[in-house]
Amino acid sequence: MSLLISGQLARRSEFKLDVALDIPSSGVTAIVGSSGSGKSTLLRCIAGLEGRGSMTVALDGEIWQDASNFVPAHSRALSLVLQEGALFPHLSVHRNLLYPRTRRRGFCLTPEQVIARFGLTPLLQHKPSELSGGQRQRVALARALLAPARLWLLDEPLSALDGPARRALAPELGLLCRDLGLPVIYVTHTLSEVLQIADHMVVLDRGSVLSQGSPAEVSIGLSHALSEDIDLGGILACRFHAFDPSHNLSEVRVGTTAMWIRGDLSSLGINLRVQIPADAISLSLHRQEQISVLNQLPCTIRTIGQPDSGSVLVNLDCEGQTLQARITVLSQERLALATGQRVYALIKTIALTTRETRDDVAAQ
Amino acid sequence: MNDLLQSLGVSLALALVTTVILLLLTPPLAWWLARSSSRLRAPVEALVALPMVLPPTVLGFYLLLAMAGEGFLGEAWNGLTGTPLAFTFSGLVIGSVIYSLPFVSQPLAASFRTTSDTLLEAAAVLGDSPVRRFLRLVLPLHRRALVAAGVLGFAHTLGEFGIVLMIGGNIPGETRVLSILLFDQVESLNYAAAHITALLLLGFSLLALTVTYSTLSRRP
Repeated sequence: MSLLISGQLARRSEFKLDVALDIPSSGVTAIVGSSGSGKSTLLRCIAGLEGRGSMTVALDGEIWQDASNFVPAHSRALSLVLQEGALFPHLSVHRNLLYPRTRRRGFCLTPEQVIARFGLTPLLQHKPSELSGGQRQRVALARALLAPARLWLLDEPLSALDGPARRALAPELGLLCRDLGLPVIYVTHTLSEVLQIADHMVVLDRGSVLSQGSPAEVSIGLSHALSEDIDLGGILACRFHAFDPSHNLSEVRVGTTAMWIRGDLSSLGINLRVQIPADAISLSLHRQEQISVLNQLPCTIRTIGQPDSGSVLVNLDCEGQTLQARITVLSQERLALATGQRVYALIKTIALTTRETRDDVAAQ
Repeated sequence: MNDLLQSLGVSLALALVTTVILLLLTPPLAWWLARSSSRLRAPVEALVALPMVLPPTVLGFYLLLAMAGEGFLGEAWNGLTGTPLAFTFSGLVIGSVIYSLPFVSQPLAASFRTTSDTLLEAAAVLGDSPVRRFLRLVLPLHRRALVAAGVLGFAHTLGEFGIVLMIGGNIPGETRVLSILLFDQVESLNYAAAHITALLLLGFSLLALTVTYSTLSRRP
């Protein structure tokens, strides 16, 4: 069972999209790419808002559009949350929630359920213009849950929000995606938004698929292919261990090795994914005692990549998982690094927490 | 005074019936004018706007020909109802609908042009067909423009003169509207009565425009 999307979409003789995707129709699929990569266009094709006549879209064998067929957007059993929420300005929150047509086949909640889940009771009589950005987006998510759907589409649902509103809504949205039991396609340019929840990832670049697979596979593949603006590095699966409030640090375990990450991660659950940019890792031949870096992970060098502009990518095995470090060719020569060698990956804790708006790691 | 009340009745009935018909016909037309990329759009828009620039007597002349017994409108009407169309209230309604059409369709089309595509797409994804989107989203979104367009159409119908003179004539209780009555009163030098009729029309027009502009300037 899967969602098929294929075809080419040109606009003004320029390719907007050229894809052949087979996305599992279960779990959360993240479509990641910078602006202009075609990720929103892809989503609009799935929704039936674009790509008529040129793109093929089929869900579990049911053709939504191809060269000769086209099921209009209102007849597709899907739900789409748009970037800015797109609440109807003349209707109260309550009337917005009652807007969806419920005659379509598919899964949906009742108004009472979503009002309770999103805590909307105090807002029901307000007009959208009286709400904050975060509140508007919660109403939009709630409204989308009231339209019967077999597929849930999210188009940058957090991008219009400021830092605090985003941090408040992100974990809730993550839980929702996991609880729904519907396939979710989540489009974003911010990897951290989907890092904890994605089961499958598709990376788009200039209208074509650069990479797809599990988040860990994708991140490793990408370090070779890109990229100025997304330094994915590696993604480590780890377990939450404890939070130390006096230092504002969370201790997580990668296998048996302890690692510290800034902030309280207890709300994210036991199983976490930590993204570590290749540039944030230094390599050392020995454990360093007199150094400020807290995280020193013992690793084995698997491969060393080709030198590129004076730097190399070193692929590391860390407790069976994969990390990537970008170091200078000079360092590689001085340390005489070679395949199979034991090294320590030094990761500044601060590097895992400070870049919270673009690709902030582990911290939500 | 009896004349005045009788003409006021005809004027109000004419304006009311015309406005109701226009509010049913115009929204789909204005939506098409506002959103279509068809090649036909410009010629249709010109046709709809024609009464704004054409002398009412020109329009009235052609309508008179069409409504005459052997004219295509008159013949069709006679076939349907067995009665003539020229110099009747029904004939006046048809003329008024055509004459006041641009005054209703233009403010509506201007307002429709501001409709956000994102909202229409949101409604589509929530399950609304194009017709439902129009009825459930577009019309409520532009309800102020609908009120304003209705008031403008009503006021403009109340003030028409040239067309009425050509196709309605001057039948008391049937086709003699206020503006015709005023003309009669002035011709017979009855200035005292003319003052009242003129003041009535002036006051009503001012009121209608005030309602229109205050409705349009409020936030949606």
